[in-house]
Amino acid sequence: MFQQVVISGITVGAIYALIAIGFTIVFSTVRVVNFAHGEFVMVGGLLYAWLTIVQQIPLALAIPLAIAACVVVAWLSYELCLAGMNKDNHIAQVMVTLGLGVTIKGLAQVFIGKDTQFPPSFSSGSPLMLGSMSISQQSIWIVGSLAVLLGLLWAVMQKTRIGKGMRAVAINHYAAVLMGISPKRAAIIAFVFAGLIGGAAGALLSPVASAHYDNGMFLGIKGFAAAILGGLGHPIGALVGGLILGLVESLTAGYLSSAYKDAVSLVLLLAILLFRPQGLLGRALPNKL
Amino acid sequence: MLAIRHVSKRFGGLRALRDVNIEAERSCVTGLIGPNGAGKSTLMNVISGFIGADEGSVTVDEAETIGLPPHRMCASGVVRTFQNLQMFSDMSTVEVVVMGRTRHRRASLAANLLMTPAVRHEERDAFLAAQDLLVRMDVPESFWLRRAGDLPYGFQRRVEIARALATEPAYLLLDEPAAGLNDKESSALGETLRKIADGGIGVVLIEHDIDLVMNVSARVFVMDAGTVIASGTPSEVRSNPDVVAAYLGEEHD
Repeated sequence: MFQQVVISGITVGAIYALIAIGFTIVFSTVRVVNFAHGEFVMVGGLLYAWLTIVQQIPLALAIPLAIAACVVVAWLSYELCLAGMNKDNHIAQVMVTLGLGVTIKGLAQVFIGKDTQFPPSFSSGSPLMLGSMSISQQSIWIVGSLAVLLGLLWAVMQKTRIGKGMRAVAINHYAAVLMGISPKRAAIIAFVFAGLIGGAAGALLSPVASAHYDNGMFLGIKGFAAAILGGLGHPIGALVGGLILGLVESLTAGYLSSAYKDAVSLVLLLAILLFRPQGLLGRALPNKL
Repeated sequence: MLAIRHVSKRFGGLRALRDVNIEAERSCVTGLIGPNGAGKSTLMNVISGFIGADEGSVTVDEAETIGLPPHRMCASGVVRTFQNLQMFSDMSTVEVVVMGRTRHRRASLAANLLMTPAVRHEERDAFLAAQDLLVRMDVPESFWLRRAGDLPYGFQRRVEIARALATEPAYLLLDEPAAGLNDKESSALGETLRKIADGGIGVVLIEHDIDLVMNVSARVFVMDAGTVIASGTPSEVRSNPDVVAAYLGEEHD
């Protein structure tokens, strides 16, 4: 029982971590908490479901298509809504992301539909048996994708000029700008990465948790909680926060009652905000000019 | 020549800059002094594009730069350092300086993601250039791979200047580079600034350390209450009665 609970906790936690990365990457580069991010995840899942179930497109094509659409949604979100705004007016920017979230949700409802959909797993086959534990194929896809995407993101951030430029913007916006790094370009790349990883999270999640146009806010809150828990703006924080949140929820559901699952995770979030607002791994907030 | 002509800036009722005229030549150090609140830092922010001017022009070798976004300034040949250190603390020292090479790098986004040989070549050149600058700024090799934020304060200042030089500027604006340095470090900095200017760069030095400014500058501008009240060679400025009253007088009472 315990092992099974842990496996499900890791699977859920991996999803939360994937969502949290999107919050973190946008927050560190653009200094905005993008509350529309949950909708990017929803769009990834819903499009994957719609493409496979309604359009009957093969999986190998539907997955990249859904993710690519998410990238476009994320890029347009920045370009049309945030790019022209005064970047020092954080409240206005956050309100815009909330409005954007509602808009994306509305568009999804109108154009894709209100039905809850159950798309197929990425691979069909019997669960993997490890002793007495059974691990579903989709769980392996989810955890494997998290590892691959995190590894790729790390390589891009540490090894390439693009990634170093984004890190420079995140560490010190003013100095980065003086070195000729365009903050707008860094922001676009951040949103593209958020769309890519968010869309992948949505597609990975939907075979396990179904796809529905109204899921975005809930997914966003869980991802945001994971990002805060680990330390918003900290890349490994998203991973740690996501896994802890997933495990706590899974243990609560397994040993207490699934009714308390969300309550326990939100209490955990409250405790972090009260006692360690920079998150488990975060350092104190960066200085301003 | 870096020419600031008739620049004015208001913040609400405060006239932060009033008809400021300053010129800085290449290959020499131009000093800018003035008491706190004289508008030196505001002027610096206007030149580097962080805030707009209400009136006036800033030209870099005859090209107008007012209205350019700050990230385009380094391509026009102007780079600055900040009064309080603005370091990429989490990067290694050499990486910080490599960031200064950004505008000289041509490889596309796709090439970067694929790490093509051209990109590797570019990367190696940038590292070599950065190491050269660290040598020139007397940053010991043992610091190069350490986290930049962990270096002693005086060395972080030098790394910041090396990063600015990595952009290959025509004009280097230094906002109180000697703040927090002791006398010995400060005179070493003076030496370095002279060497930088000898290399053909126009250095604009904003400083509270009068001795440093007077020692290294070919020309000094004095600001008070948002306007330039005097300019000339260090000895002319020193003996100007307005300057003595506005600024030096307070120090020598």
